[in-house]
Amino acid sequence: MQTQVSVINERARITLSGRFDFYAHRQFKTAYEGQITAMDVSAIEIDLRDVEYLDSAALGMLLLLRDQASVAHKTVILTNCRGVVLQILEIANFKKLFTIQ
Amino acid sequence: MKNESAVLARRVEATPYCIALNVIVLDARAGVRRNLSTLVKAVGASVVVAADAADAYASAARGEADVVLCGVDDGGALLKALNTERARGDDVHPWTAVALVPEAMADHDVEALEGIADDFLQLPLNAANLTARLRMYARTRSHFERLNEQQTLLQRHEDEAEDKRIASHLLARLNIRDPATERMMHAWVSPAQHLSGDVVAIARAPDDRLNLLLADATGHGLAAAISVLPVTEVFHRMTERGFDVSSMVGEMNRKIRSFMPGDRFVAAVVASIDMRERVIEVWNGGCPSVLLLGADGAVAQTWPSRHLALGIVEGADFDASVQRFAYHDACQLMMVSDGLSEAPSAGGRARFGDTAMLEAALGPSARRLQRVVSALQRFTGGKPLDDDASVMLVHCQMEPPAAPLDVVPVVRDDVESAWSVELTLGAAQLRRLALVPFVNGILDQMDIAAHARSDVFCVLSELLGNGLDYGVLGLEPGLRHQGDEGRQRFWQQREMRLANLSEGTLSVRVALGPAVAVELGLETEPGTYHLVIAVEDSGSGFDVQALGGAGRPTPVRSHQRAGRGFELVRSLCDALYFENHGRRVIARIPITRPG
Repeated sequence: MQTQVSVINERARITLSGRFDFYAHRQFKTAYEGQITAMDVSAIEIDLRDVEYLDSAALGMLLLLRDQASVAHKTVILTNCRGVVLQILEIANFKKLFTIQ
Repeated sequence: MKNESAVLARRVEATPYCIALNVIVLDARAGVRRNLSTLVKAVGASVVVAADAADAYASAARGEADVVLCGVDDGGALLKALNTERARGDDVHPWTAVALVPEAMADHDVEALEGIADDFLQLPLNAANLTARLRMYARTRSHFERLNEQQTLLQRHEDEAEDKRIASHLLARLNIRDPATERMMHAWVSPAQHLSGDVVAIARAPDDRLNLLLADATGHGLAAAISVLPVTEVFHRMTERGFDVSSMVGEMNRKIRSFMPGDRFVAAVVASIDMRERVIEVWNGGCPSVLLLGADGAVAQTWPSRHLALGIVEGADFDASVQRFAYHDACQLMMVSDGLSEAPSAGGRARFGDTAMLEAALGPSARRLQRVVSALQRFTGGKPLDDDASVMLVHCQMEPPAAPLDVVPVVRDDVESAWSVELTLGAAQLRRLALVPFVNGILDQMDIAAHARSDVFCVLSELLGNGLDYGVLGLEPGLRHQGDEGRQRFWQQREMRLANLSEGTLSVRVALGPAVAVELGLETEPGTYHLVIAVEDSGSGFDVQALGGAGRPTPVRSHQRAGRGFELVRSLCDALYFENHGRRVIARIPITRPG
């Protein structure tokens, strides 16, 4: 999996591409950790446009991100969820936990 | 303490060497040490020097040397000292003690060193000879190392295999409670590794409801298999005690939430089939849609995932509500884990998907499991799956399966005297009453043989259920039998009225013994035992006269409250009476004693 981070107007966008699974643990954590502590960031957007697949370990990583973000009073938004990615998020009922756009 | 000059092991050289061997040169004379070490270094081995046998031994025992070249010009004193140290120690690193024999040394002196030295080299040393010998030692060392590695690897494999064997055995045992009930499900579980994070289970509740579980823990292997344990444990324990699906998932969620790290959760379906009322309840948190396939082979109902998986949110954020469905013909419930629908194709691009799975499942129920599994295997080209996958199928029949228990209640031998229990529940208790566990609590106080328990349970829970629903809550008995819409309204009204209940009582009296029937004014034959259950509610009662009975006691032949459950109660009792305008019902169950 590849990650790319950009910050615009207090919103940190982390763009992921490839397979978001168990093996992406370290990369994903590295990508978001700095944004949790960044003073000028109020929302963290995870852009899933180019993610081919995500497994239950990836869902777990999103839960950890949500926990840490909420402690830092930041919101997490999942964007560009389509196809199999959207389906997996729907089955998991993650719309109850995240803003999904 | 040794003095400064005696301390050994000064590294002479750090140049790259081509023989992978560490050598200690041990001699009392500095000049000899210097010459020897130059030579050893020249042929490409790594070398340190030592003047003291104890230091040389300590260094070799720590694994820092493979060969000790020891001068024996002193008559072998150093070598003997080295050997003494070695005999005392218990070092595991193998090293070779080589005696450097001077040309002039007498044969008998050399022979005296046999058994002390592992090998001999003739002085003066020539480079070719030394190189050949050191290479041989290096080869021996590398053989030894390889053997050691293989041994360690073998041991690790054996340990792992043993761990897996014990873990699978344990997990299998923990999950299989009742083989008779197990036979009622058709299931296929395919672990990605030796142990599965997918688990299927079936268990029969005391009121004959059939409870089903399909759980899928995050990840796979041992960690996943362990995380699913609290779920199966709660499932079996609470089913035994008669709790409903909502109570069970609430407890499972609490367990997972408190036991597991934040990024670990368990997707699950917990379902219950009541074959007496022909109602299916499903709670689906994070699993693919549960399907009900009708007798015609088509989809009669689906239950998509409505909830977050177990262990993600807690307290009021957790939604334990179930979706109910009433069935009218024999049908089959199908539950799968996402390892099935998301199984990748042989090429890895496509996913098996819900559509392909459904296509295989449609049609006759016979061989449905085989059809689904073969379709999956064709799709994946028989490639092993990278996630745990499972399918579970259970028939929903029109009547509960025959109880595997005797029909005639038998009192245990040690019951001699009559006894009774009496309880009255107020509105506050009724609001949070879990009926089945409550009844089981009463039965636990009674000395009834285990195989008679199900009959008594059935009568007690039916009478209490009726008293609560039609008496205290004042629900319309007919409503429940007016099709699906009626049932739906019945359940809605029931939930609403129970939640808002502010007054009302429900009393129960259970009595056992020869005198009980007499006490209640019933006729009795000498020597017979009776179990009498009396339930009284605070409701408005109903017109018992209209049922054709008169006076007290009123034998009931047929009545409007009759449901399938009530018919069963009548068949289990030898007398059933109503009093107090129908508010009080008395049931008598004949009890025979063994022998």
